[in-house]
Amino acid sequence: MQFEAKNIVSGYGDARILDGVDLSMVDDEMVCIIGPNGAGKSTLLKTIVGIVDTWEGKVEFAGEDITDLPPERVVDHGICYVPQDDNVFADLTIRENLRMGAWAAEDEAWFDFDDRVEAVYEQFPVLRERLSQRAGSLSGGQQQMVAMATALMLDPDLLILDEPSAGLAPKLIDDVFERIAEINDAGTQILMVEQNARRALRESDRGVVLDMGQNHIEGTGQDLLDSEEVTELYLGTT
Amino acid sequence: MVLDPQFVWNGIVVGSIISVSALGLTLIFGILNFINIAYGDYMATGAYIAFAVNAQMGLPLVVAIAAGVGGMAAGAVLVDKVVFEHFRTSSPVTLLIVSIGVAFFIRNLIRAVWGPSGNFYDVPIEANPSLFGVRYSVEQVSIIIASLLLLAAVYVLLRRTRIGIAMRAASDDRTLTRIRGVDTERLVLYVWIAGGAIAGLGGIMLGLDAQIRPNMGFTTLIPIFAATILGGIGDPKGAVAGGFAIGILQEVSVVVIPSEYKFAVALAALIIGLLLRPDGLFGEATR
Repeated sequence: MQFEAKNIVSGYGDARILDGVDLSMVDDEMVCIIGPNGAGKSTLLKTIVGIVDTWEGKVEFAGEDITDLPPERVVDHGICYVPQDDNVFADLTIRENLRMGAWAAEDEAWFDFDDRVEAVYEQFPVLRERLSQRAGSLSGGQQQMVAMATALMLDPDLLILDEPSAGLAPKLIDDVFERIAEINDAGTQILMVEQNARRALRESDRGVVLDMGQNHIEGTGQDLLDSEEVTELYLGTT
Repeated sequence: MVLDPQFVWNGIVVGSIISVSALGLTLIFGILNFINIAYGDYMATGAYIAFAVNAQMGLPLVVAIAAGVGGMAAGAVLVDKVVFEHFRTSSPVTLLIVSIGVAFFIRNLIRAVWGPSGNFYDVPIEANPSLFGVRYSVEQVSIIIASLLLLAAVYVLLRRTRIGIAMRAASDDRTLTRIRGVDTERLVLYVWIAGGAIAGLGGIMLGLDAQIRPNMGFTTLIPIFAATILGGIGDPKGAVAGGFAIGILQEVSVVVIPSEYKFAVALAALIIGLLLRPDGLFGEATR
């Protein structure tokens, strides 16, 4: 679905972090935002989902204005978000976490919790045996799986991921990117911020380089990987 | 020295009251994230509303209890709307100080309406029966049964219902709860209703066990805080375990030290508990 963020300005307190960012996405696209630390990548995601107030600009999804909605209402528009840290309820069991993921739809007639849990287990089989375990007792990789599974409970149109591979072992990073690709193939649009820029660009349809709170360069994932400027300034030598 | 079972029994009664009260306080802390000093005066208000309905209007005690519990649930929501709501984004310390102001206001309002002296509920006075050398009253037995029922009800609420799970989620991470689509202001409303009702019930139990005085709740705050913190603040089952531990210790201690120093026992238990288990009875070394 059409996602359109125009001239977004936002920040914390007096600190202006985003200084007029534009971002658009179309059907089924997977878009990755890269850029140096402090460029405003996470802030952009938080502004879109309503955790950080939008000072200026406009955000539209599927033709509806979602600019100033609080986070609990953004969900109603089919947008689910996975924060980088603290993205599971540590004191709750996995099943309870999934229940929280389903919160916005549990009263709806079309929604069947057990069906949806089954569908999510298909994607994350490791969770099945651990249903009644506290999420806080899981490893970092498993917590990331729970966080993504929770965000998928509503079968969102747009999934927003903040650094899904942060802090994970290399083997698990592959696993996480594989899941993300599967979710995208199944028809969910994905917007993510990644530190692991090369890997993320390879998986993504399009990449956006954010620097100093502004869009810098934009192109297909491959274009950015091939670009000398991007390689030099933003991908380092790794 | 032989431990007199009478003191253990008294401890269980007092422990029930402290457990229930600590549970209400900890639920409020979990969602609102501040220590509500006015909580003791919520308890007193519940006790006085029940006193008005029972002793002054002459209605049966059951009706009076319902009025006290319901009245304080509504009262807690009212205080939130008038006062606390305006400080939602303030720091926990600011809120704590604001709640001290609310506490003074409520306590003096009670004094103005009902006077400073002690009162009793209109319950039949009978010689207390005894069993295996332990004297017990109908009120004490009712207090224990009511506490256990309430603790079970809250357990089911927090573990089995959607709202309860959301309350635990919000107590864990408020922002993430909003991200999942929960209107946390609604949860705040529910938690004031539940917390206010529980405070009211705790106050009535306290009034039934001893007497009804304007500062009855305020002076009980010490063992309640001790129980809440000992159990790990924000942890409901910890508050309950802490409540019984403090109640029983406090009452049994009168065998060896004068009863005026009961509260010192609660504080000593708190300090030792914190030294041994800094994250509370059931706490894990998180963050």
